[in-house]
Amino acid sequence: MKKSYVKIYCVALLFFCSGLFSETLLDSTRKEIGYLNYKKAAELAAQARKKAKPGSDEWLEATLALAVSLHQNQPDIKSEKHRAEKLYNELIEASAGKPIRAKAMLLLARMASERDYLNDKPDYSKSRELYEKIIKEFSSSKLADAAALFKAQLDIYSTNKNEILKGINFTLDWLKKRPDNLFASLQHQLIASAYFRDLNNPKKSVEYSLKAEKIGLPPLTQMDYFYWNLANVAQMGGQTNIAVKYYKKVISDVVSSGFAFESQIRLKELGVKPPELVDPFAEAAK
Amino acid sequence: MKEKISSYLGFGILAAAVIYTVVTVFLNHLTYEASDVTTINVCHWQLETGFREAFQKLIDKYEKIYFEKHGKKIKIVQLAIGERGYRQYVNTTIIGGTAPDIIEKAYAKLAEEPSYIARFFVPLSRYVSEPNPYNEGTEFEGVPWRETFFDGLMSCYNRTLLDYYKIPFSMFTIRIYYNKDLYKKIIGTDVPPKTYQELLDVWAAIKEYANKTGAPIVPIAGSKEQSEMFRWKFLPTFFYTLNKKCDYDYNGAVDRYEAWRAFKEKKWDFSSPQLVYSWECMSDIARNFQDGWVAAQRDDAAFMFVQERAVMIASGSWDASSLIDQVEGVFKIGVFDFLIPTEHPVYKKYVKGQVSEATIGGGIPWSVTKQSRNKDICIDFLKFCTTKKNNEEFNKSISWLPVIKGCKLSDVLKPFKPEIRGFVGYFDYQISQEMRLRSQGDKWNLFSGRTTPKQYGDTLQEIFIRTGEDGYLDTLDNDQRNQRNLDRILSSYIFKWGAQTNKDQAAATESRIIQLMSSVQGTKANNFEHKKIFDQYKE
Repeated sequence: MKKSYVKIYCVALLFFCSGLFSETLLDSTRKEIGYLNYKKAAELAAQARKKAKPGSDEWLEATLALAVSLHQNQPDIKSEKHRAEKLYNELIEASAGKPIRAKAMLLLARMASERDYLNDKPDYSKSRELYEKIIKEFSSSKLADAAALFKAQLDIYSTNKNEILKGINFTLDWLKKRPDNLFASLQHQLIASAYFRDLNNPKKSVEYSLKAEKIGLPPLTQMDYFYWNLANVAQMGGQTNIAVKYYKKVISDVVSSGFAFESQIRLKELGVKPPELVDPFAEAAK
Repeated sequence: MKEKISSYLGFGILAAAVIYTVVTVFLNHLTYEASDVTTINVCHWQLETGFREAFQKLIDKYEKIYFEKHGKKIKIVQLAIGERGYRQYVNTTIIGGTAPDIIEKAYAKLAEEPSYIARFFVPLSRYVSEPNPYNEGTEFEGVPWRETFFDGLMSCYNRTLLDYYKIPFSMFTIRIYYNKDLYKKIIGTDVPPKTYQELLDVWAAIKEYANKTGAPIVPIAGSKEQSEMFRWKFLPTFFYTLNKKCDYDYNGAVDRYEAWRAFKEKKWDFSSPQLVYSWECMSDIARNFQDGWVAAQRDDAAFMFVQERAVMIASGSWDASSLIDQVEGVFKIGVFDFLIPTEHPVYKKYVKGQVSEATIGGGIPWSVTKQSRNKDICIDFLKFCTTKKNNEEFNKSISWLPVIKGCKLSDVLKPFKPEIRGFVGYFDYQISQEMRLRSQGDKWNLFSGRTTPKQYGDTLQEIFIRTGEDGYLDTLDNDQRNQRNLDRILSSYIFKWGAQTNKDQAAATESRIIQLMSSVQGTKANNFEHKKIFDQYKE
């Protein structure tokens, strides 16, 4: 009896330690992925995957880590990309209903639309299919918001006007369902860009740029570039009031903008008195 | 006796050399490689007077503070390489796995191209978002490190990789230095010219004086480097009206794609007046350099000025201290800004103002290599160097422009204060490698008068038409690779998205994902647009 307790204890200790060990490997893997050191991350992830119990959360994460590392490692080697694809598919099969499945599908979709080695061809229909799966299975998740944005991009980056309008309408539907989603601002900017570049409609472009601004632009956006671009597009579309407003913002809201001086000229041309330039170096020279 | 000495002399010299070597190696080992000393290597190319000494002062202060704080010895070693060998040094040490801990980032491909930067250098976002601990007790206490820089560190933000990879110590502007005493002797006043025409008149007067008196004096010292300064300051001013016509995406500049498209749409070519007049103007300026200036180095031009064989020289604020020191007691130096031909009877139609210095970036940029085993110490050292006090002291001692907010400029540097009134933007017609090589190479013939602007333009036009399509596709290929690299970074964040238990870290991850998705979206849209335009206009 005592011997069997000892055996059980040893086996339990062994599982515990292997769990601990693979967790430590996973920590290191995460760190290396954070450093973009995919080569090292792949080695660690492979070890972690080997040690973890197939189907366990650790195994799923290690599989994702290995897939991502092989997918993103440089130089881009065909066999590594194929292996990554197999791993993503294996992970998708093994993780029904879990968020990690959505991540795997998202990354696989990105892979499908990339060209990584000689004669590699993007497969946009596969990407589209995967994005649609994510949207269907994880409809109220942030990953679905990302998938919706990527899917819309596939439609909008097209030479076919109908496809572009399809992408715009899809995005507007998504925004109706999820107006505060994480990528709402980017989705508005995507529409704004499509109206400007492809549909030659500066007024609509300005409308959606303003909506993007209202929601809030991504961190570290070069605001003077945004304002300058908006002012020019508005001026092009005959929306003088908006143009004036944004030329003024270039001067007053952005420290040290290279567009400030020219914005003053544009305002004068529009018959408006421009604000004074703000010199951030004036104090230093006093 | 003499025979004995001479027979043992050679052996004696050899023995002394060996003893000296052994002692030096032993002392170096004690200083840098002893087990209780952490050595940090910093490489740079700054051989200017005073830089290494000023930098060493910062190093000595930091080593002392570090020891007081941690009870551990560190040794920071400067490796001053010099410009000529710097590129090779950086590239080979990085590839060889022996890179210094901190590198002054420039020149080398591995330190400049985004895909290599991402591979070999430490991204600094999280560090620059934290307060600089060495600012405790000052007005910047609690302020994110990046916000203490004059531009919020925006010039160091890599927009391809969406992260910071360098920390600057100084910034630089360029001006024209002039010998006030000699100038007054020739012109009758030491007040510098105020317009481009006045500048040309002054130069003509100096030439006349030299001819009359036989004095070996030229108006302005020249070299390739000096002429490049005039090129930076003058050429973009001619392209203002072209930029307005050809800036399809309203980002303030005309990139290669736009230049190619506009060329196809016949909005410009190499006989456009903006280009031809810009070249004429540069040639007019270069006529006032000394004979044979194309073969001169920048040091030669500096010597000419210091030896009073040139009344003026164009140079940067980096030379202020060195030039002033060299002429002390001999003559007084004045400084004035470049004079743009906004009132020229012909050029004024195109030239509307000077180039703006509002977006001037930080210089002397330091990056931490991923190979460093002491990344945290390297970053801590950079934080120490960029407090207001330390940055002001460092730059004052070498008369350079500081980069931290609130730092004061010395009187010598006030004329170098960045001028924010002006235009930004560029017109990039360098569509292919051959175009770049020929336009860069042949411009010396143009500026030295061996080629006319028309001949130069005709040569470039032929190359542009012949190589434009291939060059366009090469540029696109490169941009697509950069787009792919963005995905590599994005994937690392998607991987950890939603898996972090720490709320702050999770929020930071999401913030980065939004930034990256924005950049991916923008880059992808641009690349798609460029491909579309190419298909539309290719032959």
